[in-house]
Amino acid sequence: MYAKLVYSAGLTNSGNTRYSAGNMIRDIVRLCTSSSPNVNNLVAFSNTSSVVVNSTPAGWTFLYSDFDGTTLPDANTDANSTPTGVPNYWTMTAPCLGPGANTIKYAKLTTTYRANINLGGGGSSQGFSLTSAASISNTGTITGEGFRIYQSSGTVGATATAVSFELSGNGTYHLIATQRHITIIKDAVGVHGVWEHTISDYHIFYNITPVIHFVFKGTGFTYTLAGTIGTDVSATAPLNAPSAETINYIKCLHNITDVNTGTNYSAIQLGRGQSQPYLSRNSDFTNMKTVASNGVARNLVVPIMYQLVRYGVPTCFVTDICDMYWTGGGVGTTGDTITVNGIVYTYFDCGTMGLAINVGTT
Amino acid sequence: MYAKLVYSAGLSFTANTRYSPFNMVRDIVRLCTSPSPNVNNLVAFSNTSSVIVDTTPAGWSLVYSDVDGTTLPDANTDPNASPSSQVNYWAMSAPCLGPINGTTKYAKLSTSHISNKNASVNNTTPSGFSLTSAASITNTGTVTGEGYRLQYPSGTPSSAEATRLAAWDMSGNGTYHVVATQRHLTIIKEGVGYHAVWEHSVSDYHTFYNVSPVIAAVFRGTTVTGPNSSAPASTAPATGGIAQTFDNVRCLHNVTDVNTGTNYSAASMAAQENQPYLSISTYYSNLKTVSRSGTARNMVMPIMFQLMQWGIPTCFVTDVCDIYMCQGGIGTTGDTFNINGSIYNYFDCGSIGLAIGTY
Repeated sequence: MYAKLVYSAGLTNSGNTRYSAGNMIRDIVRLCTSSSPNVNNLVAFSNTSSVVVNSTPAGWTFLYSDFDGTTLPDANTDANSTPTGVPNYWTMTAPCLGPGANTIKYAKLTTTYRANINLGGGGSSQGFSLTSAASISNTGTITGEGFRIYQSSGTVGATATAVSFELSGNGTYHLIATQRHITIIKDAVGVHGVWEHTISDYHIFYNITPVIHFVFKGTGFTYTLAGTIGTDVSATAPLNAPSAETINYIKCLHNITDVNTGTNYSAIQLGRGQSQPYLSRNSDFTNMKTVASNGVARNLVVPIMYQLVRYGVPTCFVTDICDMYWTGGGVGTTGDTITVNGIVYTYFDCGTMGLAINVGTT
Repeated sequence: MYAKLVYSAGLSFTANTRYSPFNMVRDIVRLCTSPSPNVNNLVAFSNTSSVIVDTTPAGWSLVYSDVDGTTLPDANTDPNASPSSQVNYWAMSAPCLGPINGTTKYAKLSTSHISNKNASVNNTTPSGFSLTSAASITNTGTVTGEGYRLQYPSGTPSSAEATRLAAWDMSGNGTYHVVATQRHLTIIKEGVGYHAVWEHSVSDYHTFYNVSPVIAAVFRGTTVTGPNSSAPASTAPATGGIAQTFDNVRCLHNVTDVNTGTNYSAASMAAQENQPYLSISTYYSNLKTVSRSGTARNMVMPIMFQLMQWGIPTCFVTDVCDIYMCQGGIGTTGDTFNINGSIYNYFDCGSIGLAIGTY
């Protein structure tokens, strides 16, 4: 499923358009869990300007929301509601290819701060984050959620740090989802993704769900080893890096055991300083231009992969499972096509970086 | 060719054993250029304790030495000689597989500071040698774009400087492993580190610019600060912007930044340059994992690099030189590894190791 979603919050809610981060999430969950995703699922994103480009069902299942419980209301019966006074969340699941027969991955969409579910009144600071977790129950018990920034109090607006991390505000959002991944891109701004990856003997032995949660935002923010960012509060995902750093990437793993010590981490963050095959320090992966043998300019694409060899996790590949590559930002317009090894991919501009994703038949 | 060489400098010369880094380099060059490498090539390394494990000719050719010119003296006719009062070098070349016919790679072995060719006085000091590559070396001694190394071209280093040199170069008593084919020259001091010149896979970038696909790599478990530090060093500016303590150096030659058109005769990718694997070593420590049954296993990683910010895509040393990187201290040098069904020899390089297949 691939949906191109337009968010253009007006000053007041009107008709079936009810602007808020909570309803943006509800729209996304409806699209990902629908057997026939279509624009009638939308109440926050425009149901006239948005397009469901590929309506193949994404194959995710709604699990639980601290707002809606286990049943997501239909778009047309979704009543205005009072805020709950805290960030709210909606969760989904999808099966993995392995290593076990019942290995499950989770996606959790959470508003960044107290947000009226049908707030209206403009949308510049109405945002949300996508994370994964070690487990989420259908009664709301969450174990080992990945890193995100949220505010537990205050209603005036999200802080600049929160805005630098979340997906928020008016613009075009691209939602690509299959049973292997959910990728949410705000055009020319950034990406939040939950991606299944290849398994190894390590994953088989520990029966670990092969999932990495990934965020890229061109803006950076300083993260301390203590896990706090200014006055904001982060979820439980300690940074696996030797020092506090300014970061613009987040990569989280779940239920990881260090083979050298036996210590288990329900969530662990591979920080910017964690040297990765490619998803690493941004400055080392800029430009991404090269030349053909005849001198014609070309863009570089790299497979999406990671390692945590110091804990025993060998190199794992997202590209092989989710059929997407990492490339430079601003190399074209989102929707352009990129041919990688003879296969046509769609280009998505994520700011200073980009993604080439096989969105299927459109 | 694979030679296991023992260096055990005595206080005085005896018979055919003449201790010095100068003669260590000559021994290595003789082995790498000989059609029948054998222990009779040795005058610094022991010709009784050393072993030529694989005598397949390495296939390198002597290009030039600022001491010996274009002809290296035979071990048995190698006279004692006066020091030249400077850093000396010996350069070799070997053809590359591509990107076009005639592409050549260079290996340059240099002493680190003033070194009597046969100076027993140096036998217990940290005077050693380094291996680098270059953009080109002629048979009259013109060296262009040499990679990064530490040296003291005049005078005698202070104690602190000598210690710093010892953290970088290959020096002192111990066992040295020289593994060489036409694709690479790898010199390992057992339990300490390695200096290497490796050919790697080519890309369209290399074809367009007609660049020799070669990377010079050094790994030492101990760290030095640079390469933007004040230490005397040869011409290889760092592509990273931060002087940093590092324990590995990787140099490319004759590379052009596709974005600016600037050509660098040599460029050093220092520790802060994130690489697929040859990167900040703390992130590549342990290298242990488990099999699906729970049995402990060691991890090996392909040797590869990228310089995408200048247009160079990922290039693979492993595919061309048949070498993997792994953890140090996991066994004894000479142990065998099974990687994807092929047998490799393990070489302990200190805190990391190398698994080398073809000789």
